[in-house]
Amino acid sequence: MSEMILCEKCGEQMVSINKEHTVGMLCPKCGWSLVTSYFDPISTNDTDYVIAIKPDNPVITGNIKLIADIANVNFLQAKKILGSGKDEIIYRAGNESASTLHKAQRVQSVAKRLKEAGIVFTITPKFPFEF
Amino acid sequence: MGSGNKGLYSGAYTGSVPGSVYYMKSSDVFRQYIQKRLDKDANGFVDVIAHGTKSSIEIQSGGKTIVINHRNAARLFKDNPAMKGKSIRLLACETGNNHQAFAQNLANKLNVVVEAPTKLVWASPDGSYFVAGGKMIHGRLRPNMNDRGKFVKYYPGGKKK
Repeated sequence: MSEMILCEKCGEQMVSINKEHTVGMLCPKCGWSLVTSYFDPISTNDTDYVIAIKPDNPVITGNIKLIADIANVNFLQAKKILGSGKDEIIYRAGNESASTLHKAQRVQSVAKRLKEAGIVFTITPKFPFEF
Repeated sequence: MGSGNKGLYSGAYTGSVPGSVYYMKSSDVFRQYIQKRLDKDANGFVDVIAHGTKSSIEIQSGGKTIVINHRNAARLFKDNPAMKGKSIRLLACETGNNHQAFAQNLANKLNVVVEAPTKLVWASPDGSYFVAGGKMIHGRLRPNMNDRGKFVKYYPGGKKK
């Protein structure tokens, strides 16, 4: 279904405005417009996600360094986590006070890195965004 | 956040006129429209103009755009002499969506009345604005006039004084 929005001033069909977090419609004829704020759903998702790695991921240098970085632990601690033989939580989405990324976006970023490294992991609760 | 971050956002607001504090870039179209509104200083409230969500607002700080929660916003507002102890009206989308949202938490933190919109704030070039939900049509956000919202006052502790 096509739904046109017509300008309330002149009746022309309005076109979209989309600049950073300001979105809306603009009349190309008379300049009238209507704007608001818009954030991607991932940037407003406040769920407290937890990422855990599964047992039996390869205990190799690349994986150890990655886990150390994500879990904010040292190399030896990361090696122990990887080789523990059980599920290990390595990341919790917190409320970092000042970040350019929202917490669900940070979870997405961590998940991407783990996926690229081939590490098997879970996100709880179910993460509704792609990574 | 510890006290070590106090002042992190100093100078973050990007402009103010009496009764108004802007946390958007001056080039932002929403800001350009809403600053023409006729009801500045409505009921003596300080207007805060920022992009918002149910749980946060977006500010400019050190040349970067960052999203802050109610705790950091409270600290930021306390550091602003223009806002000290004054009631606040948030011209920031959805910040007054419900009693768990940004506005109520901010009212609790600052111990002042905070008025905020329950849904998106839509602004026009003449400064007029209204509160309504949005609907995506072919990937484009449109106002949903069947889903009108309003401004709601939130009181410290959740109770009307």
